[in-house]
Amino acid sequence: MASKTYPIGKTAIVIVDPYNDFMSHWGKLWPLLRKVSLKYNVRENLKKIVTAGRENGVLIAYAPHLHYVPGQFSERKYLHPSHVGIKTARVFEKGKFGSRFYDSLLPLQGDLISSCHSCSSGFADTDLHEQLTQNDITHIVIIGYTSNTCVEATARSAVDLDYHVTLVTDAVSSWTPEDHYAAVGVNYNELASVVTSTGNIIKDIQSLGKDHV
Amino acid sequence: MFNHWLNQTINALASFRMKKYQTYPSTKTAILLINVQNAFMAGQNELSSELQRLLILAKNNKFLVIYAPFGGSAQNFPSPAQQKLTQLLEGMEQGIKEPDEYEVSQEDIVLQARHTLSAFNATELDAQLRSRNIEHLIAVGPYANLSLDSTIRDGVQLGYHLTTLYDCISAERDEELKAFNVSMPRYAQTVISLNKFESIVQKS
Repeated sequence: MASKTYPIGKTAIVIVDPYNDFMSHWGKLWPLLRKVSLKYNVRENLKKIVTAGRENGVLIAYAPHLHYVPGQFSERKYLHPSHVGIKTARVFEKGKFGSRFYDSLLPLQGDLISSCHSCSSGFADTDLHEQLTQNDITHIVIIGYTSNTCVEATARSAVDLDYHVTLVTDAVSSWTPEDHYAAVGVNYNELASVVTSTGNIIKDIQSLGKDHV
Repeated sequence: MFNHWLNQTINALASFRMKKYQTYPSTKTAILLINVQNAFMAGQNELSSELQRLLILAKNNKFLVIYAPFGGSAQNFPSPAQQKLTQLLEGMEQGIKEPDEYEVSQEDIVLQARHTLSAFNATELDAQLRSRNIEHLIAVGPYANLSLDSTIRDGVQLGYHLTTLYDCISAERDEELKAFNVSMPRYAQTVISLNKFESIVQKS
Protein backbone atom coordinates (compact mmCIF):
# COMPACT_ATOMS: atom_id res chain seq x y z
CA MET A 1 0.00 0.00 0.00
CA ALA A 2 1.76 3.12 -1.19
CA SER A 3 1.46 6.36 0.73
CA LYS A 4 -0.41 8.81 -1.47
CA THR A 5 0.91 11.87 0.28
CA TYR A 6 4.50 11.21 1.30
CA PRO A 7 7.20 10.27 -1.25
CA ILE A 8 9.80 7.76 -0.04
CA GLY A 9 13.20 9.31 0.59
CA LYS A 10 11.79 12.84 0.34
CA THR A 11 9.94 12.94 3.65
CA ALA A 12 11.41 14.01 7.02
CA ILE A 13 10.15 14.47 10.56
CA VAL A 14 11.32 17.79 12.04
CA ILE A 15 11.28 17.84 15.84
CA VAL A 16 11.47 21.28 17.43
CA ASP A 17 13.05 21.93 20.85
CA PRO A 18 12.60 18.58 22.67
CA TYR A 19 14.48 19.94 25.70
CA ASN A 20 14.26 19.01 29.38
CA ASP A 21 13.24 22.58 30.27
CA PHE A 22 10.06 22.03 28.23
CA MET A 23 9.42 18.32 28.79
CA SER A 24 10.92 17.02 32.04
CA HIS A 25 9.16 17.12 35.40
CA TRP A 26 12.22 19.03 36.61
CA GLY A 27 12.27 21.40 33.62
CA LYS A 28 11.88 25.11 34.26
CA LEU A 29 8.88 25.56 31.96
CA TRP A 30 7.17 22.23 32.65
CA PRO A 31 4.83 23.81 35.27
CA LEU A 32 3.29 25.81 32.40
CA LEU A 33 3.42 23.17 29.70
CA ARG A 34 2.25 20.17 31.71
CA LYS A 35 -1.45 20.95 31.42
CA VAL A 36 -1.71 20.62 27.63
CA SER A 37 1.13 18.06 27.39
CA LEU A 38 -0.55 15.60 29.77
CA LYS A 39 -4.02 16.11 28.31
CA TYR A 40 -2.93 14.97 24.84
CA ASN A 41 -0.08 12.59 25.84
CA VAL A 42 2.24 14.78 23.82
CA ARG A 43 5.50 13.36 25.19
CA GLU A 44 4.45 9.78 24.45
CA ASN A 45 3.18 10.75 21.00
CA LEU A 46 6.45 12.46 20.09
CA LYS A 47 8.33 9.33 21.08
CA LYS A 48 5.98 7.11 19.03
CA ILE A 49 6.32 9.24 15.89
CA VAL A 50 10.11 9.49 16.10
CA THR A 51 10.41 5.73 16.72
CA ALA A 52 8.09 4.91 13.82
CA GLY A 53 10.12 7.25 11.61
CA ARG A 54 13.41 5.55 12.46
CA GLU A 55 11.96 2.06 12.02
CA ASN A 56 10.64 2.95 8.58
CA GLY A 57 13.62 4.82 7.16
CA VAL A 58 12.19 8.33 7.51
CA LEU A 59 14.79 11.01 8.24
CA ILE A 60 14.54 12.57 11.73
CA ALA A 61 15.73 16.19 11.84
CA TYR A 62 16.30 18.06 15.13
CA ALA A 63 15.69 21.82 15.13
CA PRO A 64 17.08 22.93 18.51
CA HIS A 65 16.91 26.31 20.23
CA LEU A 66 20.17 28.09 21.03
CA HIS A 67 21.53 27.35 24.52
CA TYR A 68 21.46 30.29 26.89
CA VAL A 69 24.72 31.88 28.06
CA PRO A 70 24.85 35.10 30.09
CA GLY A 71 25.42 38.14 27.84
CA GLN A 72 23.87 36.34 24.86
CA PHE A 73 21.50 39.19 24.07
CA SER A 74 23.95 42.09 24.52
CA GLU A 75 24.08 42.66 20.75
CA ARG A 76 20.31 42.79 20.44
CA LYS A 77 18.70 46.20 20.95
CA TYR A 78 15.13 44.88 21.02
CA LEU A 79 14.56 41.60 22.82
CA HIS A 80 11.71 39.38 21.79
CA PRO A 81 9.18 38.56 24.58
CA SER A 82 10.53 34.99 24.86
CA HIS A 83 14.09 36.33 25.07
CA VAL A 84 12.99 38.23 28.18
CA GLY A 85 11.73 34.95 29.65
CA ILE A 86 14.86 33.00 28.67
CA LYS A 87 17.13 35.66 30.15
CA THR A 88 15.15 36.00 33.37
CA ALA A 89 14.84 32.27 34.10
CA ARG A 90 18.01 31.12 32.27
CA VAL A 91 16.00 28.72 30.15
CA PHE A 92 18.01 26.16 28.06
CA GLU A 93 21.15 27.21 29.95
CA LYS A 94 24.29 25.88 28.34
CA GLY A 95 25.79 22.86 30.11
CA LYS A 96 22.79 22.48 32.43
CA PHE A 97 20.01 19.89 32.66
CA GLY A 98 17.46 22.16 30.93
CA SER A 99 19.38 22.40 27.65
CA ARG A 100 19.75 18.64 27.27
CA PHE A 101 17.37 16.75 25.03
CA TYR A 102 14.57 14.95 26.87
CA ASP A 103 15.64 11.40 27.71
CA SER A 104 13.27 9.49 25.47
CA LEU A 105 13.99 11.77 22.51
CA LEU A 106 17.77 11.69 22.32
CA PRO A 107 19.14 11.92 18.77
CA LEU A 108 20.57 8.70 17.33
CA GLN A 109 23.10 8.06 14.60
CA GLY A 110 21.58 8.83 11.21
CA ASP A 111 19.46 11.69 12.53
CA LEU A 112 20.11 15.17 11.29
CA ILE A 113 20.74 18.01 13.78
CA SER A 114 20.52 21.54 12.42
CA SER A 115 22.37 24.53 13.82
CA CYS A 116 20.47 26.30 16.61
CA HIS A 117 17.75 28.89 16.12
CA SER A 118 17.98 31.96 18.32
CA CYS A 119 14.44 33.19 18.12
CA SER A 120 11.64 30.89 17.09
CA SER A 121 11.60 29.45 13.59
CA GLY A 122 13.85 26.43 13.11
CA PHE A 123 14.72 27.78 9.66
CA ALA A 124 15.72 31.33 10.61
CA ASP A 125 19.49 31.80 10.41
CA THR A 126 20.15 28.05 10.61
CA ASP A 127 21.34 25.36 8.20
CA LEU A 128 18.09 23.36 8.48
CA HIS A 129 16.92 24.22 4.96
CA GLU A 130 20.35 23.47 3.51
CA GLN A 131 20.60 20.11 5.27
CA LEU A 132 17.06 19.07 4.30
CA THR A 133 17.68 20.11 0.70
CA GLN A 134 20.93 18.12 0.58
CA ASN A 135 18.88 15.10 1.65
CA ASP A 136 16.30 15.73 -1.13
CA ILE A 137 13.56 16.42 1.40
CA THR A 138 10.43 18.13 0.05
CA HIS A 139 7.84 16.93 2.60
CA ILE A 140 8.16 17.64 6.34
CA VAL A 141 6.15 16.68 9.38
CA ILE A 142 6.78 19.28 12.11
CA ILE A 143 6.28 18.26 15.76
CA GLY A 144 7.49 19.37 19.20
CA TYR A 145 7.34 22.44 21.43
CA THR A 146 5.48 24.75 21.45
CA SER A 147 2.32 24.64 19.31
CA ASN A 148 1.83 28.32 18.54
CA THR A 149 5.39 29.58 18.95
CA CYS A 150 8.39 27.65 17.61
CA VAL A 151 6.43 24.88 15.84
CA GLU A 152 4.08 27.33 14.12
CA ALA A 153 6.94 29.71 13.28
CA THR A 154 8.88 26.80 11.77
CA ALA A 155 5.79 25.83 9.76
CA ARG A 156 5.35 29.41 8.53
CA SER A 157 8.96 29.48 7.32
CA ALA A 158 8.53 26.05 5.72
CA VAL A 159 5.47 27.31 3.80
CA ASP A 160 7.46 30.24 2.43
CA LEU A 161 10.33 27.89 1.51
CA ASP A 162 7.81 25.77 -0.45
CA TYR A 163 7.86 22.57 1.61
CA HIS A 164 4.84 20.31 1.77
CA VAL A 165 3.97 20.78 5.45
CA THR A 166 2.21 18.34 7.80
CA LEU A 167 1.27 19.30 11.37
CA VAL A 168 0.15 16.85 14.06
CA THR A 169 -2.34 18.27 16.57
CA ASP A 170 -1.49 15.91 19.46
CA ALA A 171 2.28 15.97 18.97
CA VAL A 172 2.66 19.63 19.92
CA SER A 173 1.94 21.42 23.19
CA SER A 174 1.72 24.98 24.46
CA TRP A 175 1.51 27.31 27.43
CA THR A 176 -2.27 27.43 27.84
CA PRO A 177 -5.22 25.63 26.21
CA GLU A 178 -5.97 28.93 24.37
CA ASP A 179 -2.45 29.08 22.92
CA HIS A 180 -2.68 25.45 21.86
CA TYR A 181 -6.06 25.98 20.23
CA ALA A 182 -4.91 29.12 18.38
CA ALA A 183 -2.42 26.83 16.65
CA VAL A 184 -4.01 23.39 16.24
CA GLY A 185 -7.63 24.56 16.00
CA VAL A 186 -7.13 27.60 13.80
CA ASN A 187 -3.82 28.50 12.18
CA TYR A 188 -2.56 25.00 11.37
CA ASN A 189 -5.52 24.61 9.02
CA GLU A 190 -4.32 27.68 7.11
CA LEU A 191 -0.66 26.67 6.98
CA ALA A 192 -0.37 22.93 6.51
CA SER A 193 -1.25 20.81 3.49
CA VAL A 194 -2.11 18.06 6.00
CA VAL A 195 -3.29 18.45 9.63
CA THR A 196 -3.47 15.04 11.25
CA SER A 197 -3.18 13.00 14.47
CA THR A 198 -0.37 10.85 15.85
CA GLY A 199 -2.28 7.65 15.05
CA ASN A 200 -2.79 8.61 11.42
CA ILE A 201 0.69 9.93 10.75
CA ILE A 202 2.16 6.71 12.16
CA LYS A 203 0.05 4.70 9.68
CA ASP A 204 1.41 6.85 6.85
CA ILE A 205 4.98 6.41 8.08
CA GLN A 206 4.52 2.64 8.35
CA SER A 207 3.22 2.44 4.79
CA LEU A 208 6.38 4.26 3.67
CA GLY A 209 8.45 1.55 5.39
CA LYS A 210 6.53 -1.25 3.63
CA ASP A 211 7.07 0.42 0.27
CA HIS A 212 10.74 0.73 1.06
CA VAL A 213 11.17 -3.02 1.60
CA MET B 1 -6.11 28.13 37.44
CA PHE B 2 -2.43 27.82 38.32
CA ASN B 3 -1.59 27.55 34.64
CA HIS B 4 -3.31 30.84 33.81
CA TRP B 5 -1.96 32.68 36.79
CA LEU B 6 1.62 31.67 36.03
CA ASN B 7 1.20 32.49 32.34
CA GLN B 8 -0.21 35.94 33.10
CA THR B 9 2.55 36.69 35.59
CA ILE B 10 5.26 35.83 33.06
CA ASN B 11 3.55 37.83 30.29
CA ALA B 12 3.15 40.84 32.57
CA LEU B 13 6.84 40.70 33.45
CA ALA B 14 7.86 40.56 29.78
CA SER B 15 5.53 43.46 28.86
CA PHE B 16 6.95 45.54 31.70
CA ARG B 17 10.52 44.90 30.57
CA MET B 18 9.70 45.85 26.96
CA LYS B 19 7.77 49.02 27.74
CA LYS B 20 10.88 51.13 27.23
CA TYR B 21 10.85 50.20 23.51
CA GLN B 22 7.70 52.28 23.04
CA THR B 23 9.26 55.36 21.47
CA TYR B 24 8.66 56.20 17.84
CA PRO B 25 11.21 58.70 16.47
CA SER B 26 10.10 59.88 13.01
CA THR B 27 13.33 58.90 11.27
CA LYS B 28 13.35 55.38 12.72
CA THR B 29 9.68 54.39 12.39
CA ALA B 30 7.81 52.81 9.48
CA ILE B 31 4.18 51.83 8.94
CA LEU B 32 4.02 48.44 7.25
CA LEU B 33 0.73 47.84 5.40
CA ILE B 34 0.51 44.10 4.78
CA ASN B 35 -1.89 43.03 2.02
CA VAL B 36 -3.79 46.34 2.03
CA GLN B 37 -5.21 45.61 -1.42
CA ASN B 38 -8.65 45.76 -3.05
CA ALA B 39 -9.14 41.99 -2.90
CA PHE B 40 -8.55 41.82 0.86
CA MET B 41 -10.09 45.15 1.91
CA ALA B 42 -13.45 44.69 0.17
CA GLY B 43 -16.33 45.40 2.55
CA GLN B 44 -14.03 46.29 5.44
CA ASN B 45 -15.12 49.86 6.08
CA GLU B 46 -14.29 49.87 9.74
CA LEU B 47 -10.73 48.64 9.22
CA SER B 48 -10.30 51.01 6.31
CA SER B 49 -11.25 54.09 8.32
CA GLU B 50 -8.86 53.10 11.13
CA LEU B 51 -6.05 52.60 8.60
CA GLN B 52 -6.79 56.04 7.15
CA ARG B 53 -6.49 57.51 10.65
CA LEU B 54 -3.17 55.71 11.08
CA LEU B 55 -1.91 57.09 7.77
CA ILE B 56 -2.81 60.67 8.73
CA LEU B 57 -0.90 60.16 11.96
CA ALA B 58 2.02 58.77 9.92
CA LYS B 59 2.02 61.76 7.60
CA ASN B 60 1.91 64.27 10.46
CA ASN B 61 4.86 62.54 12.10
CA LYS B 62 6.80 61.88 8.91
CA PHE B 63 6.84 58.10 9.37
CA LEU B 64 7.85 56.07 6.35
CA VAL B 65 4.87 54.21 4.80
CA ILE B 66 5.47 50.84 3.13
CA TYR B 67 2.96 48.83 1.10
CA ALA B 68 3.67 45.09 1.06
CA PRO B 69 1.27 43.45 -1.42
CA PHE B 70 0.60 39.76 -1.96
CA GLY B 71 0.72 38.73 -5.60
CA GLY B 72 -0.63 35.19 -5.67
CA SER B 73 1.06 31.88 -5.04
CA ALA B 74 3.49 30.36 -7.51
CA GLN B 75 4.66 27.43 -5.39
CA ASN B 76 4.64 23.66 -5.69
CA PHE B 77 2.96 23.26 -2.30
CA PRO B 78 0.93 26.41 -1.61
CA SER B 79 -0.58 26.49 1.88
CA PRO B 80 -4.36 26.80 2.28
CA ALA B 81 -3.71 30.41 3.33
CA GLN B 82 -1.90 31.20 0.07
CA GLN B 83 -4.60 29.42 -1.93
CA LYS B 84 -7.33 31.44 -0.22
CA LEU B 85 -5.53 34.76 -0.80
CA THR B 86 -4.77 33.85 -4.42
CA GLN B 87 -8.42 32.99 -5.04
CA LEU B 88 -9.52 36.35 -3.63
CA LEU B 89 -7.01 38.15 -5.85
CA GLU B 90 -8.13 36.32 -8.95
CA GLY B 91 -11.79 36.89 -8.13
CA MET B 92 -11.57 40.66 -8.43
CA GLU B 93 -10.47 42.93 -11.21
CA GLN B 94 -7.74 45.23 -9.88
CA GLY B 95 -7.76 43.07 -6.74
CA ILE B 96 -4.00 43.36 -6.44
CA LYS B 97 -4.00 47.19 -6.29
CA GLU B 98 -4.18 49.26 -3.13
CA PRO B 99 -7.70 50.73 -2.72
CA ASP B 100 -8.30 54.15 -4.34
CA GLU B 101 -8.55 56.05 -1.05
CA TYR B 102 -4.92 55.21 -0.31
CA GLU B 103 -3.01 57.96 -2.03
CA VAL B 104 0.46 56.55 -2.45
CA SER B 105 2.94 59.39 -2.36
CA GLN B 106 6.45 59.65 -3.75
CA GLU B 107 8.02 59.10 -0.35
CA ASP B 108 6.13 55.84 0.21
CA ILE B 109 7.62 52.49 -0.71
CA VAL B 110 5.56 49.96 -2.64
CA LEU B 111 7.26 46.56 -2.53
CA GLN B 112 7.10 44.14 -5.40
CA ALA B 113 4.17 41.74 -4.96
CA ARG B 114 5.33 38.50 -3.32
CA HIS B 115 4.03 34.91 -3.33
CA THR B 116 5.08 34.08 0.25
CA LEU B 117 3.06 34.75 3.40
CA SER B 118 5.80 36.78 5.12
CA ALA B 119 6.62 40.18 3.65
CA PHE B 120 10.25 39.60 4.61
CA ASN B 121 10.74 36.39 2.69
CA ALA B 122 12.61 36.85 -0.59
CA THR B 123 11.84 40.57 -0.79
CA GLU B 124 13.92 43.73 -0.51
CA LEU B 125 12.05 44.80 2.66
CA ASP B 126 14.84 44.12 5.19
CA ALA B 127 17.46 45.84 2.99
CA GLN B 128 15.21 48.87 2.48
CA LEU B 129 14.60 49.19 6.21
CA ARG B 130 18.28 48.80 7.11
CA SER B 131 19.42 51.35 4.54
CA ARG B 132 17.07 53.89 6.18
CA ASN B 133 17.94 52.92 9.77
CA ILE B 134 14.36 51.96 10.58
CA GLU B 135 14.03 50.18 13.95
CA HIS B 136 10.32 50.47 14.82
CA LEU B 137 7.71 48.80 12.64
CA ILE B 138 3.96 49.30 12.97
CA ALA B 139 2.62 46.23 11.14
CA VAL B 140 -1.10 46.17 10.28
CA GLY B 141 -3.57 44.83 7.73
CA PRO B 142 -6.44 42.45 6.87
CA TYR B 143 -6.42 38.61 7.13
CA ALA B 144 -4.06 39.18 10.04
CA ASN B 145 -3.50 35.55 11.06
CA LEU B 146 -2.17 34.73 7.57
CA SER B 147 0.41 37.18 6.19
CA LEU B 148 0.64 39.70 9.02
CA ASP B 149 1.40 36.98 11.58
CA SER B 150 4.24 35.52 9.45
CA THR B 151 5.63 39.02 8.85
CA ILE B 152 5.62 39.93 12.54
CA ARG B 153 7.43 36.69 13.46
CA ASP B 154 10.12 37.31 10.84
CA GLY B 155 10.47 41.00 11.76
CA VAL B 156 11.11 40.20 15.41
CA GLN B 157 13.64 37.53 14.41
CA LEU B 158 15.46 40.16 12.31
CA GLY B 159 15.80 42.42 15.36
CA TYR B 160 13.11 45.07 14.84
CA HIS B 161 10.75 46.45 17.48
CA LEU B 162 7.36 45.28 16.24
CA THR B 163 4.13 47.03 17.16
CA THR B 164 0.71 45.92 16.06
CA LEU B 165 -2.56 47.77 16.69
CA TYR B 166 -5.75 45.96 17.75
CA ASP B 167 -8.03 48.14 15.67
CA CYS B 168 -5.90 48.17 12.51
CA ILE B 169 -6.20 44.46 11.81
CA SER B 170 -8.96 42.07 10.79
CA ALA B 171 -9.50 38.38 10.12
CA GLU B 172 -12.04 36.33 8.24
CA ARG B 173 -13.55 34.67 11.31
CA ASP B 174 -13.67 35.58 15.02
CA GLU B 175 -11.54 32.63 16.01
CA GLU B 176 -8.84 33.66 13.55
CA LEU B 177 -8.78 37.11 15.10
CA LYS B 178 -8.61 35.50 18.53
CA ALA B 179 -5.73 33.25 17.46
CA PHE B 180 -3.83 36.33 16.28
CA ASN B 181 -4.52 38.12 19.56
CA VAL B 182 -3.40 35.10 21.61
CA SER B 183 -0.14 34.38 19.77
CA MET B 184 1.08 37.81 18.66
CA PRO B 185 1.87 39.20 22.15
CA ARG B 186 4.40 36.34 22.30
CA TYR B 187 6.18 37.95 19.32
CA ALA B 188 5.38 41.63 18.84
CA GLN B 189 6.87 43.62 21.70
CA THR B 190 3.99 46.11 21.63
CA VAL B 191 0.33 45.24 21.05
CA ILE B 192 -1.87 48.30 21.73
CA SER B 193 -4.84 50.24 20.36
CA LEU B 194 -4.55 52.98 17.77
CA ASN B 195 -5.61 55.54 20.41
CA LYS B 196 -2.82 54.42 22.71
CA PHE B 197 -0.31 54.55 19.85
CA GLU B 198 -1.51 58.05 19.00
CA SER B 199 -1.06 59.22 22.56
CA ILE B 200 2.48 57.78 22.77
CA VAL B 201 3.43 59.44 19.48
CA GLN B 202 1.94 62.78 20.49
CA LYS B 203 3.71 62.79 23.84
CA SER B 204 7.15 62.26 22.37
